[in-house]
Amino acid sequence: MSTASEQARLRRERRLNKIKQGGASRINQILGQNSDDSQSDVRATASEEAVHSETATPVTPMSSGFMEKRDDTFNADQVEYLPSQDYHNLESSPFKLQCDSPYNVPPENMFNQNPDFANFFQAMLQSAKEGSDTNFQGENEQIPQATAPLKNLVEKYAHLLAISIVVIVCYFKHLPLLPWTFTVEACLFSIQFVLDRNNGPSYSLLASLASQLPPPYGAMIRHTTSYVPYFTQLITDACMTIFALGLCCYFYPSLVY
Amino acid sequence: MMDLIISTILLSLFIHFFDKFAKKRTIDGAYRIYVSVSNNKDLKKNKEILEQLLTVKKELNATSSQDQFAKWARLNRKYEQLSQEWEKQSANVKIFQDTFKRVLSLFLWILTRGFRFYIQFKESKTPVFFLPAFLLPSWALWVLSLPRSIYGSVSLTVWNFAVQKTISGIF
Repeated sequence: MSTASEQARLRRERRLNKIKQGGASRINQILGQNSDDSQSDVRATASEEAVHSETATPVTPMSSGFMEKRDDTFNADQVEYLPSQDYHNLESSPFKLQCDSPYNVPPENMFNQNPDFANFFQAMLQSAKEGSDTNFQGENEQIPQATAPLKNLVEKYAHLLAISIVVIVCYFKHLPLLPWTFTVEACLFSIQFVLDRNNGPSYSLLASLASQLPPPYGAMIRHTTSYVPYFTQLITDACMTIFALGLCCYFYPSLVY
Repeated sequence: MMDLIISTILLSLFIHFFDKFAKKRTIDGAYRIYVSVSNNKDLKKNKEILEQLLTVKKELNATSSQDQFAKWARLNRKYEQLSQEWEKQSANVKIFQDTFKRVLSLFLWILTRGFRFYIQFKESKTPVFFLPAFLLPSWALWVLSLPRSIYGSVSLTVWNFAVQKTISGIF
């Protein structure tokens, strides 16, 4: 039984040593310490092993299964409670966390021990901040200015193109023009109405006049003037229809006579 | 009859681009020519003062205020006097200039639109082109033939309006 407990203790010690060595090497890589510091870490580890082996207390003989389970967890019975000791003082408490070991150095010391790393990290943060600010400002500044004229142009030329296509198709396919034109116009205006729903009020003389009038009359004028662009576009589309018909009759007059 | 289509389009294009690009330059050029050949006393005096002002300004720029302070002071005083005199004179000339440009603009507008209106009035009974019967209903054909064209055709008045609107919409 004593041999089994000894093997368990040795296995536990080897596992803890392995964890400590891995942590120490990782911290050394981060901090960029030289070989001398590595040797000092090795010496510290060896001394800790010696201290741990000296302070180890023998375990009471028990069954092997129970022994295996108890070895992996903290055993409160091993801690000695002394009446005279002040357990509220964290400095003298047996449960104090180890802070002096190199592998347990807090993150704040990383920048103090390595100024180059601190500068590099600060530069990265600054560049990331500048990039985010630039994108934000660029998006805010450019989109409102670029979308409105471009959107109006797209709407205008979409209407012209659609009307031209309808006229040409109806002319050469011998289809009635008016129903097809009304259908296409209804579709285009529906799309335009949905897209323009979030736009602000138009700036015109009537709109300026409406702001000076009392609520019922001002609202009526504003509501009426909001449909003026659609009416203007409708007239333009009608003129475009006649223009397209004229060109079709000029280039293909045989369909007329 | 088919020539009316192309000629009307070309005339509308010319008027559109003339108003957009060439009208202002034409008016400014005409004013400069008028000033150069005119016998108006105010215009001549204003021109002379402006030439003197530019000469003094050029000489003032070439003179150092530290090395030739006396000369610089004399030129600066002369420049200030000429500036005040030119500003006073320009007030009257500006009124004449605005009037001249306004009259010339009206003349050009009458010349362009008037010519188109004349052709429209003269050829009001001439159909520009005929439409197939299957395209539009009878009431639409009647509307397009207004005011005095043949039923089933498009009148010059309607065609001119359509061309103007289309060109202004495209360009």
